[in-house]
Amino acid sequence: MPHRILTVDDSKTVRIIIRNAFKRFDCEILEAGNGMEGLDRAKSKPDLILLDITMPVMSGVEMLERLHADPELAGIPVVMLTAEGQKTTAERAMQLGSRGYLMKPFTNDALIQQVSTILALQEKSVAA
Amino acid sequence: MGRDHLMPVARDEISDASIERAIEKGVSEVLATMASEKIESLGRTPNPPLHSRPQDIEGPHVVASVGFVGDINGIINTHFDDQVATELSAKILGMSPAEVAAAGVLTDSMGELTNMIVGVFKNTLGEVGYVCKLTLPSIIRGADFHVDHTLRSGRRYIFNFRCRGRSIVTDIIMEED
Repeated sequence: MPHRILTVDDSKTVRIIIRNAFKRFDCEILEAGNGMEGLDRAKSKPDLILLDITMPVMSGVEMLERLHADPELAGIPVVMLTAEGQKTTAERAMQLGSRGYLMKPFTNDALIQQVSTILALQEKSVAA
Repeated sequence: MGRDHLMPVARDEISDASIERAIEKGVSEVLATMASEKIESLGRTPNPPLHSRPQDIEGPHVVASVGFVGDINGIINTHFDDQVATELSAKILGMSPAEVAAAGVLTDSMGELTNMIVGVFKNTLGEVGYVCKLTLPSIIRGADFHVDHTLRSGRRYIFNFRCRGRSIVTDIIMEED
């Protein structure tokens, strides 16, 4: 069964880059353009969420807080993906329960490595 | 606790050299990582007036603007020659120029590249103690326009780059302390 990854980013460019990066893998890519849409798409329980921080309508930080307040969605691993690369932002995201943090600009290799590591961990923790 | 403990931490004044390093790092790192492109730095336009169109920009182009707000406030307008914008967008997205046009992603791509450039810029300045946040990008595309601002005083830096033989200009406007 393919992994399902939800990309939440207001930039169509970033969403296409991510879709292209996972083309050669057995992945289904879901997309949302802001945190509000992202919360709605998250109800389909993707295996992982790639989440931008600075977005209109609802920011990534607010979406992360709402995900973790919902017992049905709280277990979905989230990787923050942002140009807001300062240590304080990273620490805040990790405090809120983000599993990883990838700074823009990023390479496809860095993205795939981060996602595959977390998905492998997630599978282990589900199987345990 | 002595009163001295309540004094703000002293920070180095942001020098012109720091600004130059930060923006060159931003442009070169983002274009190398996202598009595998090398850029050539043509240096800084000497003493530009606070309000004027950058000299190295003519004809159709895209301007993407991202602000930074916090310990320092300002905006960076990145001007991309239309042809290099199309070629970069195509390369980043794995599309042909015609597909970029059909998908309507050119301005979004330049907005995202500028977002990343300003992100590297502000993170580099963050390392010397200036913390700020980015605003959402805004983008304009056309041939006969220029982007202005309402500041009556401030610092302005124009840095000129070449990529694929075409012009990329970063225009930094910062509020005075």
